[in-house]
This record gives sequence, structure tokens and C-alpha cells, in this order.
Amino acid sequence: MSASLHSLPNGTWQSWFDAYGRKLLLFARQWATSAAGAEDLVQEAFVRFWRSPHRNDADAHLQLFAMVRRAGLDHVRAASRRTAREQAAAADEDAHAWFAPAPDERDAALQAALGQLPPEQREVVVLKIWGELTFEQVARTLDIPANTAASRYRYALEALRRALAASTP
Amino acid sequence: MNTPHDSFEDELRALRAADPSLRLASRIAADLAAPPTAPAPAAMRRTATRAVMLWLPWGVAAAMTVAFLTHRPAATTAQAPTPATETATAAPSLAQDALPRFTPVSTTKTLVGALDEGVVFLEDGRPARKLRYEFVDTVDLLSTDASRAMIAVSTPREEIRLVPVQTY
Repeated sequence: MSASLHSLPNGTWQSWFDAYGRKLLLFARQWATSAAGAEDLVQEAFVRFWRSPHRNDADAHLQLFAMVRRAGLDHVRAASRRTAREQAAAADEDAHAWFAPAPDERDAALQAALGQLPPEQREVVVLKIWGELTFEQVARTLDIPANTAASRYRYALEALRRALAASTP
Repeated sequence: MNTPHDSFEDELRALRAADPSLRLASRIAADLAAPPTAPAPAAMRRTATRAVMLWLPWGVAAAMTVAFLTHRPAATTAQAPTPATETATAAPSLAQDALPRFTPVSTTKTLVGALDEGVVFLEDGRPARKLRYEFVDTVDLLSTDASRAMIAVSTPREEIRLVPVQTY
């Protein structure tokens, strides 16, 4: 999907949004405590991206992920000043809302385990699995060495396996 | 670099990320249909902004940058005799050509703090609530040369608003 979009320099924003909206929203959930907050981040990043010259780059989709990440980090900094009441209200949202409704208990346990990962591991997993990026692309998006991305991914999968084993009898 | 195929990864991949709402697409469409001004970050979206307050620091920064780039030490000028005027004027030009040129591509305004400082009284005696907002304004600058380097310049800013209040 990504490769085909790269060959469409004249693609409309809707085609980009159709291709990446779901992935960006999931990625944005790393920093937003609510679905509405994640959509705010995607909106901000997507509009910035579409108006920037980066959208014509060969690796434009990486810029898109990076812009969501930056908006997310800005959001976290701003959120640190918010009242406890607002934060508690946001935390009430279902943590499993990152994904479509889970069909069984195992999937639900996977989703819960993903939410428990350290943020630096979770963002790598999200980009690799659901963002469909290679380790090299993950590394460029997060501005980390590719080996670091690979090792974080490996640790994350191990943690997920352990969490899943512990949750299933 | 990529790991071999793993069935556990397939299991993860089978989890389907939630779809964005239709409202999000509508909001993006509305944003893109509007004139290309800087999109406000989520934290700031509900807050009215003052363009003058936003651009004032950048105007000062730009003026300081121009002053810095065009500044020549007095000693250099003193050593350059009158016949060498052409050389003296050409040198800064060459130096400036060698510098990468950056053009602003986007700006963001992030609200990082808000403080209600209570009721104060204006000069005419009317009461008003004093609200202090702390922002961080960021401008992304993109190099116009082949490197396409990007730098971000952030400046803190405070905005004080006096909101008239009525007493009964």
C-alpha cells in the first residue's frame, strides 16, 4: 500500500487519509489518552503534512508518522499541566479502543499487554506491525539507530508473549 | 535487519486498528479548505490567538538574524582602505551566499500553561479577571538547497488576557 502511494505524487489528501488514517490514529494513541485526543493529533499533523513540501518526498509517509509523533510529544508536554480531573476523565476511556472490538479473550489480552509496554518499545511495535514499516524506516521515523529499533521490537515481542502466557491459563 | 517470519507477529497483525471517525475526515477537509494558516495544536485549538503576539517574537528574531549576518567587526572595516571598497562589499555577499537559506514552512502554537490570577481592577475601576497563558511558538524552517535540512525554532511566550467581569 505504501509503495503504491509513493508512485502517486498527485494523490489526493483523501487517498492518503484512506491509506494512512487508521495507522496514524493508532500511532497517535501512544500520546493521547482518548480517541478524540488522538484524532486531534492526527488532524494537526495531517494538515501540516499536506501543506508541507515533504509530501512530495520519496519517503513522505515517514514524515507523516514523524509529524504525528511530534504533535504527540507536544501534546504530552502541554497535558502535563492539566488538572487531575481532566486526566482522570480521559483515563476512564476504554484502553482497548485502540483497536476494533476484539473477537476473543486472547486478542483482548494482547491489546491489554500492548498498552502495558514501555512507550519506546510500543511505538516501535506499532510502526512495525500496524504501520507496516521496515526497521530502517522505523529508525528514520523515530530518529534512532536501526539496531536499536530492532532490539526494542524484540524486547517488546518477548514482553507481549510473556504477558499473554501469564494471562491465559 | 528485519526478523524472519513469526506467527506471533501475524497474530498481532490480525488486530485491526480502530477506524478514524468520519468527523476527523470532515475536520481535515475543513482545515485544508481554509486559507493556509498555521494549524493550531490540539491543546490550543479552542483558544483564540492573537497574530500580533505570535509574530512579534519572530519579527524580533528575524531582525536579530539579519543584524548578525550583516554585521562586520569595526577592525575589519578599518583595515580595508577606500580603494578596496568593492572587495569589502563583495566579501559579505559571498559569505551570505554560502549560508544555507531557510524558508518557514509551518508554525505551531502550543499552550503549555494557563493560570487564573484572579480579579483585578482596571484603571477605570471596572473589575476584570486576569488570565495568564504560557505558549511555546515553534517555526519549522526548511532549507531551500538540496540538503532539505529542517530546523525548528521555539520561543516561549506569555499572553495576559483581561476578561471583564460583572458584579451583581
